[in-house]
Amino acid sequence: MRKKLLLSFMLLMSFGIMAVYGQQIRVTGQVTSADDEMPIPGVSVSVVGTTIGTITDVDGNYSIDVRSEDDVLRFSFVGMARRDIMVGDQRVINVTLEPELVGLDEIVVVGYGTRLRSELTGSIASVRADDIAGTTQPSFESAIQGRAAGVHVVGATGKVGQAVKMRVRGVSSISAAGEPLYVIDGFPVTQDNLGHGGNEPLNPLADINPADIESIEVLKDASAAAIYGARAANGVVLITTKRGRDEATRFSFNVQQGFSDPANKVGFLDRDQYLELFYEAFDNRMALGYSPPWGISDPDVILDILFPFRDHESQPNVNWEDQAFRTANHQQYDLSVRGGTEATKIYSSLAWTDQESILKGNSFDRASGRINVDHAPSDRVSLGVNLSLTRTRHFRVANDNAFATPLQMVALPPLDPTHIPGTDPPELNRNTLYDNGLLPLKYNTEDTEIFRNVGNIFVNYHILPQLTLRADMGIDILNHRDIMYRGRLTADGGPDGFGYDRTVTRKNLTTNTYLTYDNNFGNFDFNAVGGTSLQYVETDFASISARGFPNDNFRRIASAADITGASSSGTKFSFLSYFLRSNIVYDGRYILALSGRIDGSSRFGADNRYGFFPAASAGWIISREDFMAGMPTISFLKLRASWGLTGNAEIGDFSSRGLYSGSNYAGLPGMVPTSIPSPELQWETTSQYDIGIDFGLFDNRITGEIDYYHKKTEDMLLNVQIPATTGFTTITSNVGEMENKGWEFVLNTVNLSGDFTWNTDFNIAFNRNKVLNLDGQIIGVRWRAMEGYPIGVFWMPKFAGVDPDNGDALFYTDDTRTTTTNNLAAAADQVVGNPNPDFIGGLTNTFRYRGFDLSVLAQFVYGNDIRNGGHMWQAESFATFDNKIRYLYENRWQQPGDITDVPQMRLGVGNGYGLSSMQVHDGSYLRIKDVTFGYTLPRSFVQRANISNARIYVKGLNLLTFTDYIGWDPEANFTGTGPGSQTMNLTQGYDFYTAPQPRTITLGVNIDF
Amino acid sequence: MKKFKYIAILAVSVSMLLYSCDDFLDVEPQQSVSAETVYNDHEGVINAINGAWARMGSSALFAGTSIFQSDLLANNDDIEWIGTFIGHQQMFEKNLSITDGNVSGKWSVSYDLINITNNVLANLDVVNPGQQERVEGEAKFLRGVIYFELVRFYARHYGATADNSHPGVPIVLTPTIGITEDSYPPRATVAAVYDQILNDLGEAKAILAPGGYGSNAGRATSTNTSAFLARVYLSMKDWESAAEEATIVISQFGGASALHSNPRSAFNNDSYTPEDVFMIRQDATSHAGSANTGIGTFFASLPGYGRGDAYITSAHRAKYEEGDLRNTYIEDPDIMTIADVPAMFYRGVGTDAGNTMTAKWGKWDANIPVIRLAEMFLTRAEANYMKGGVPIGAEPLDDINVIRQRADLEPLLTVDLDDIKRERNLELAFEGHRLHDLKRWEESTFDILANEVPFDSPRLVLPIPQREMDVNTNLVQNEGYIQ
Repeated sequence: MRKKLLLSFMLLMSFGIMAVYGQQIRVTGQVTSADDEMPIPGVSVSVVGTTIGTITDVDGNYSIDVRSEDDVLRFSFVGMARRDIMVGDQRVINVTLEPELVGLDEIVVVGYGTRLRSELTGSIASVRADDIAGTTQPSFESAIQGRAAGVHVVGATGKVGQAVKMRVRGVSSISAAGEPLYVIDGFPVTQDNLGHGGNEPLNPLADINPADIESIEVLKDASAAAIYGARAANGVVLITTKRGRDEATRFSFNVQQGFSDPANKVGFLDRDQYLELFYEAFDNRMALGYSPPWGISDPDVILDILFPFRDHESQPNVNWEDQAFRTANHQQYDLSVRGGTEATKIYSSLAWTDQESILKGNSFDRASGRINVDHAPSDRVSLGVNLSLTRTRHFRVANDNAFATPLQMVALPPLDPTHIPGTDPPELNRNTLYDNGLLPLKYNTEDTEIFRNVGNIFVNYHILPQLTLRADMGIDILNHRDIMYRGRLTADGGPDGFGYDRTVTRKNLTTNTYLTYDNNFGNFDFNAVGGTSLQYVETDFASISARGFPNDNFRRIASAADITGASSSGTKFSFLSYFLRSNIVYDGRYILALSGRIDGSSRFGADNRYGFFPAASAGWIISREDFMAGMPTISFLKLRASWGLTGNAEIGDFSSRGLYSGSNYAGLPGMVPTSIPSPELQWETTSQYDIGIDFGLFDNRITGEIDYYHKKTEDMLLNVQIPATTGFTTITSNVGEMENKGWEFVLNTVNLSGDFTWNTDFNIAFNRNKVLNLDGQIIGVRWRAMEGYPIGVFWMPKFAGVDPDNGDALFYTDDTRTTTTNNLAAAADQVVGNPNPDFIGGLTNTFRYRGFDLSVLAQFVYGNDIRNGGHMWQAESFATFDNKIRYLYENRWQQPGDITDVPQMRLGVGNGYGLSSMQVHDGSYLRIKDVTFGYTLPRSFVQRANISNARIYVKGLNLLTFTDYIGWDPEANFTGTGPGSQTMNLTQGYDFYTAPQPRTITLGVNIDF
Repeated sequence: MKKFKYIAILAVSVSMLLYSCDDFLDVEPQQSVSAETVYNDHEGVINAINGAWARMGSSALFAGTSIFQSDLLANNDDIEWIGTFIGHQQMFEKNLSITDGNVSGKWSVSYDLINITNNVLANLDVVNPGQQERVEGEAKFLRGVIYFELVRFYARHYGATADNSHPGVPIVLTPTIGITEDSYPPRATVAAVYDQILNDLGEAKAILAPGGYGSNAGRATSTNTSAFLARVYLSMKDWESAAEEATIVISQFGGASALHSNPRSAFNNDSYTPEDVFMIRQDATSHAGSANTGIGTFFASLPGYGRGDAYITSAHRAKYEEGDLRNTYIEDPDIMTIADVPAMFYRGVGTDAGNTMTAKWGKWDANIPVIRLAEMFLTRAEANYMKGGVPIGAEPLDDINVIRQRADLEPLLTVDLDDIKRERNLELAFEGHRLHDLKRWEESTFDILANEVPFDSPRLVLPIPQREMDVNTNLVQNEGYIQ
């Protein structure tokens, strides 16, 4: 019915046009697919430059009237390459559409404009809608993982909706943020965590529906990124949402459902193993001549004190690791509509996703809607609105470094029962060694609800055919709300309950005004864009906490007896920027691009308010030279080189100021100094050069890119350590230098074409980070920035193995690593690991045969170390009673001559217990990240149901991981808690009771009609 | 006409492009004020001194580390540590790490507070004349007390060298404006630090008003300055001065009658009590922490409060005499808060339940008694006993019996030094005295392997924090730590 209406609408329109023009040429024909030679219904057929258009019927036939033989017919269809055909003397035009291939002629979004990929002179990695839409993760960043060379994405652990870490070409700052700048449809969006300080950072980008994204471009080198000036040093991620198209309106419905398990379980001791180790550790202690622990010489007495229920007839033997995990469900529904006319185009979507984490108590859901409208009332003016509304909810559990987090339950020995034996109904055991994590799971809630409105309006005015003025204004309004309750029976909420309520409002306003000039002068193509941008961001916080609730049924502050804390606060920052960029292409062969941006920010010191960020780049398309004509193997070859300056302005809003903040002494208002002035404080400057080759061989069946880059960051924003005797421990200054240099290789091949197609996309990136100069400073304690070393090296005593004669844990006394000691306190701290990988990359293989498609993404990280903080207790010699990993049980030293890396067990006194490289492991891994198998139903079959396209697919995420890492998951990223912790560049490679990635199986159906 | 239109459009767009406003970049903070404006007026200086008091009550100082660090480090057989915080474990084992957060935190907050007092003292001229003496006195009180805390934790004991020329801590007496050459001070000698302490506390005592119960027990008075001076003189073994200062305090507070009838009443109070000579004020919104910091978080095991990390051994409880009110004990699974504990010890009911816990630290938002009147009796008894000759204020026997009788014990007929030491140990247990008492009495303690640790062992002196050693090459590390 709908289709008929549309058809009649189209007919009416063409009729109207006929009336105007009178003289008509009728063209008819059929559109078929090159894939299966089946007719395609719903293909948009239009006359270029007019509003005349129609669509093909169910048999792929069309009929259209054109004005002259010079008219060009345009055939377009989703997923197919668009074709333009001049009418000429033809009256029947049958068209075959090829599947759309992403290639050198694709349009790439750049800052304040677009470019042809073949004419790019910078380094830009692109990810397309197909790879993004299928994601079963809450946010789109995971779609980039393994698909963009040099972009290191570390996932948000097994908890859903947490911050994802993304580093473009290494870490280029120590104290300032390391995340790239995220720009959606031309507007920088709120990307920093607004969650409260007691939990891990949340990811505001999870408010964006991945299915709405048309493309993601990662601007990696300075020439691409410098147009974003003082905030581009970490790279820029440009996100473009889907827009309407000048073609028949098409509805698309996608549903997916599935379940997840932990990608890995570690395995802890069971009852018998624990007891065996306990007695052994006790005997070892006594044999070494130590006094009995607490003066008790019978180990069973100690066990009875520690585990009051151990001898209960039920013989408690709890697998606490299993208590933390569950099989999690997820589901997602997307409905979108896309279409339009020459004058008005629309894209609109509605989506719902609901994802459970593999950790009990943790889930995420999101309802989102979007409408993007373009309208051109005349040849001179076009305008539009993009608007998205989202509600995101996070149902959270405590941070990884809290007893209340589910995964810390693994610390509980199997002798502690979950419930008190013999109680009916079963009462949760509150007498466990550490807090019983099942109590907070039952009684605590921590809900975060976010309402987000990202929208903008824009108008383009074509002053001259070559000169366009654009003015736009964008808003990003984020309302964040945390509501927490901790039950009276939990350790954190007792004795009478604890409630916390917090709101954050972030208003982020940006306006751009710029002119674009495009013209040809003979063989010269000239393009320039210049304008100004203003951004103003204001954040307000309010929170209240209380204790004393009548019972656990009352969870809001109104019912509480004691207000224990209340606060409201706010902060702001602003940017004022001017930018200019020009591109000159001579004869389609020689390309020169220049850009510059002036950025001023309220964050910079009064003495250094504005910075200038220039960039220059050049490209030479060698394959278009005459002398290359004799080399048909090389279908495309381009050399490019770029240099530019970018900045990092992600310091605190008021770091340049010497400040006092309020502080009260039991009701008496006061002020305390919080920072020492630094009036010359400015942005960090990163200069980067990049040399690259883009190539295509055998008619572009093999394409690739090779890049070498060198990034040098100077004037680093450092929280420089100063003597605490001054009253301050750090001052924010521009000190120090760091470099990242490396190679990136991208290779895309079409291995087989025809009925059976096989494509391979491979990328690998080698980055070397080195801190060059810190003015003699050492930043950090256990993760350090030190001159001559990569950022974030681990600094602690070096474990030297186990003495085969007596089972002692040995440590090197100093960094020459020649002498050892069994006294950890006498072992010098030294560099024992590097969290930065040697190389990262991904390999995607895509196969198609008739309606079947299969794609397999393998993603790898090599050469990085991980510090497993939990191993301090999970993998030590029974100085503590925490349950231990099975590796310890299987490998411990037992008798002279044993060669192992697990020292002898010694109850209470320990054996090498404490922080050392014993807890540092190789974190390299290769992971089958994503396997998708789909089947597109034959068109002839679905047409009967008026469906133009139907595909069912099954998707597996993290199906297999190859690693030597001892722990849940080498993709570990415990960032600590607090609003700023996601920006920390030092604390890399930290696993602290961190949940593994989920292994997910999803079934999906996608229907277009 | 058409041309005109173009020009108009161009003019508008160019003006938009050049739209500039420097004011746009002037953004003022909302929760902070610029440092340069703080000391411009009376109110600013008053706010700063109040801020200094807030620092005094931070978890790194008197609402936390200053108190339990002493007991944990000196511990022989009174406390068993079973917590997971490595820093505290190392403290308990007397194997401190140069990178320990408690060690560096206490150092940093101490000098932060000293910097505030230096700022206040440099800007007294803008304070209203009527309040100048109070503000000056408080600033000097705070500075003197903090230097005393620093020197007795981070340096070898007073008397370790004959002229006390061994390294103390850096002395900073001027406000920090920026980083200059003077920002890297070396350690002054212990003698110099003690001179500074006596100077500051002496001046504070001279200009502050006296005050007994009810007058400003959470802030400085001439009386509680005397109480700290008694501590300082005791550590210097200046027995006469210690006894004199203690006598001033005892008489200001009205003598033995000011003591609570039950020792239990001196703890977990929300308001001033007659026995509080100096306390840190806390309330529900302003306290040292309820989860991982503060004193009770380690010593308590209650539903929702305390980690149960430090429990009290049977060896400690065996030290009390029969019927001692300071040794009362209760086992009750229904205990919800410390108010349900009518005893000095209880069987833990929260985290790590089942152990014996002290009831002295059971409420995160209660006031922290730093100096109780009982301490003054014990100090005077010891000082008079050591001094010999004519006692100042009262006979040692009488002072000891004041404490014993309050604990419902029979008075002694004669007193010797061991009686005085035992009474002090039991009365002031877990209140932060143990380390300093051992050093004064030159008594050894033992580590968990039962090795003797002499009173002058480097293991009983905190290291200079490594972060400080890294940034200030003029400092020397204490003996026994990696240089």
